[in-house]
Order: sequence, then C-alpha cells, then structure tokens
Amino acid sequence: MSNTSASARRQTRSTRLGTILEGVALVGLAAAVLQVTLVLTGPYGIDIRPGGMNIFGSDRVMSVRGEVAFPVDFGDRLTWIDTEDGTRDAATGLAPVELGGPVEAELSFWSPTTSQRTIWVIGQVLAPLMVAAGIWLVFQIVRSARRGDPFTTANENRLWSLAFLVGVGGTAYQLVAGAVDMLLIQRSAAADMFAITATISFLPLIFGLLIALLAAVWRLGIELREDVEGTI
Amino acid sequence: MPPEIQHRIHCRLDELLEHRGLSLTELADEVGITVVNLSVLKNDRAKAIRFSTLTALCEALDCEPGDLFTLDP
Repeated sequence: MSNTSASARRQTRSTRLGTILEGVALVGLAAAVLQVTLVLTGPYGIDIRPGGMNIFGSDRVMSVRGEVAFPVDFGDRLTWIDTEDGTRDAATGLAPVELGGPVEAELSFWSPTTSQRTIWVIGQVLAPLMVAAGIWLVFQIVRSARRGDPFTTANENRLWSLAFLVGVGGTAYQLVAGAVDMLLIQRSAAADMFAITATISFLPLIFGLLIALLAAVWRLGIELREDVEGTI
Repeated sequence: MPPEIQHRIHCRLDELLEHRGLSLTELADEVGITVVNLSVLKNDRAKAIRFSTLTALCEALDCEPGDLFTLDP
C-alpha cells in the first residue's frame, strides 16, 4: 500500500465525515429556526399561522412551570414493611423509598395579555436562537475542515464566539428564562401559590471554558500550520 | 510562541543553477518538488527546509548544504 493511496483514502474518509457532520448541523439549524418560526407565528406570537396547523405541539396552551409554595400530601402511596431482610417497600419488596417535594406545577394562561404573550415568546425563542447561532458557528468550522483548511484565524474567532455563547450566553439564558417564568407567575392570579426560586447550573460556564481552552489550543495549531506552510 | 525573527539566510539556487546550466523546471522535475516551492526557496521566502529536500537538492546539484545557503550580513 503506497503512502499516496493511504493519504487519499484518509482524505476521502474525512471528507465523507465532514459532509455527514455538515448535514447533521444543517438539520439541527433547520430545527432551531423552525422552532423559532413556529413560536413567533403561533397563537401567542404574531398569530399569522392558519388555524389547525399544530406542528409539533406548537399550538399548546401558553404555560410556565414553577415550584408550588404549599405543601403537597402524597398520602400513603408508598408503604414500608419490616421483613427478615430489613425494611422493604410493601408493594414491590424493593428497597424502601420516600416521595416528597419540592413539587413543580404547570401554570396555564388561557387568555394571556399582550405583555404576557411577549414575555413568554421571548423566553421560548431565546434557547433555539442561541442553539441556531452555536450550530451555525460549528457548521462553518466543519465546512472549513472539509475544505482542508481548519486552522484559520476565522475558526479561532468562531471558537471564542462559541465559548462566549455557551458560557456567558448559557448562563444568561438560565437567568432570563427563570426571570420570565417568575415574572409571568408573579403577575398571575396564582402568584401566591408558587415559590420564588432560582436554579443556576454551572455546566454552561464549564463547557464554555472548555471551548475557550480549545480555542487557545487552536491558536497554537494556526501558528504551527503557518510554520509548516513555509517549509519546503 | 516567541515573535518571529526575520531570517538572513540567502539561498544560492540561482547561481548554482546558472553554473550547471539547469532551469528551475528541470531541477523541480529532478528532485520532485514543485516549481512554486523551489521559487519560494530561491527567493528566500521559505521559513524552513526539510532535510529530505536538502538532500535531494544537494544530490541533484552535486553540492554541499553550505554551497546552497549563505548567511547575509
């Protein structure tokens, strides 16, 4: 087997992989754009979709989820018994477990006001918009890799943008989405029935930092490539 | 990475080719390097040279590495 044919085969394989990845990215991008379009044109957006076009459940009643502020009694659904092997679940004989709070409930708005609709739509489109932006950046990187030139300053900048989008954008999204839910709940008739809670995950920040690290390594790759380019 | 320092290596490919009555294309065919790359080397725009390339050039031009390069003042 000659080096040339092995290299050509490797090239073909990576081109094929690049094409598949590009396809996957485009499908993801289309799904995200569709999601945004459905929300914006739906009954709580500008409502221009013909009636009955309930695509992927996009016409479901406007609702938000929140933690209820009152105690919920789960009754005696799970009972324990003492056996020779110790305490077991009475119904299944498995190890004993206990059901408890916090309990989340869905608050539906059957006739929301314009401001409520606007706030809800913002919360709904934010995530798919960010996903679309992220996928677009990844798509461009994959496309440049398929064309055989991934170690470019443009791709490094794309990685920095992706790191910012995931790290800062992802964290900001959690704050905004939480604020949207709280705002809608607190301005509703059921305001007293929900607790004011906020949960922030540090995962986006960690992923963002990892991507930033990748961007820094990419910079080294660019410098190495520049060196190789000048080698005869 | 440290900032790149401008090199002062001069490639004497032009003189060696003239002395041997060879053209750049003929040399490119002989050593298996593209004319474009040889031209980069000839015009001192190369950043580095592989030992394999250097060996091929020295064999084709029947010279030593020291004959091919000089250090500009």
